[in-house]
Amino acid sequence: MTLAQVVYQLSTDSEFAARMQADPDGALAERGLQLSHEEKAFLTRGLRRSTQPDGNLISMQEVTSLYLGWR
Amino acid sequence: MDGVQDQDIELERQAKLTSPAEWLNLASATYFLANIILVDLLSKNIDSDAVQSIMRAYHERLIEMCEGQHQDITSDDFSLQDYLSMLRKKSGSFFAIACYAGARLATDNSRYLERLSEFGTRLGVMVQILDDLEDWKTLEAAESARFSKISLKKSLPALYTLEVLPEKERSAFQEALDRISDQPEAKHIVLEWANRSGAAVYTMALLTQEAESAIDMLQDDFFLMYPKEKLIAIVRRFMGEE
Repeated sequence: MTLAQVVYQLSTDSEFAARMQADPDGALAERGLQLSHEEKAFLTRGLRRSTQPDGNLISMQEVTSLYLGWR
Repeated sequence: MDGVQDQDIELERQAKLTSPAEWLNLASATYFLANIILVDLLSKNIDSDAVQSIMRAYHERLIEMCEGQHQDITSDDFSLQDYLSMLRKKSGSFFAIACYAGARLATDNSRYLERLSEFGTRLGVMVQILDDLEDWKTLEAAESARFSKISLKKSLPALYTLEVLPEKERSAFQEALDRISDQPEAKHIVLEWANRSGAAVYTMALLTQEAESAIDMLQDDFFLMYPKEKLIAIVRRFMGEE
């Protein structure tokens, strides 16, 4: 589950997160991680949705509010 | 049936059912009722090949659902990959047959039927992930009496966190999950580890993947604009966009 490992490193390592923003392919190669083209696209769009204006990543509390608000 | 398995106290309270036996009996009756409705199609003015295809697909999908449920019931320790595969069987199959059955009454073109089945599968996976998020919402609200420990332990955010944490931290997270119904401080540990590990980001990435793949299945000129827009609107609503 490489996607899970990439998300974990993005969330716990600010240097890797910055590298991923600037050069995703280079950042992944440096860590020996590989994502398919599709996974990279989903991750990029998921990250766009999950990054808040202050640059912090979304929390479980916020994600439940976002997705379950209409229920 | 899923509620019985997860020992979902809140669902039991809402449905006013008092025992697992009642739940199982009611669920069984629902399956037989669906069978009668399908058999009734044979006496209507509907193409018999279509009816037979739907009946076969209905039973095949139910078997897939049972397979997914069996994996869920018999294992307490599965990987994230196992879990994602199980979601497609136990929840994806359920929505896939709903989409297939309606579509099969309109066409026998296998390409379009496969696309609509896959749309249903993706939608079903989204529904299950949203159900998982409900467990986390209940956890955040600290409503311990309504809380199902079993379903939280087998939820996407918990399995993701268990998968990615280093060994020592994984053990601490697992212990907190085990204590969560009895000890209030365990809740804070679980939420903190999940947040720190990026469980919310992973959940969003997967929901994005399922939503976009579902919509992609409808990108075909064969599908009429109005129903296509309605189906896309369902997906967007699941994504909190409408």
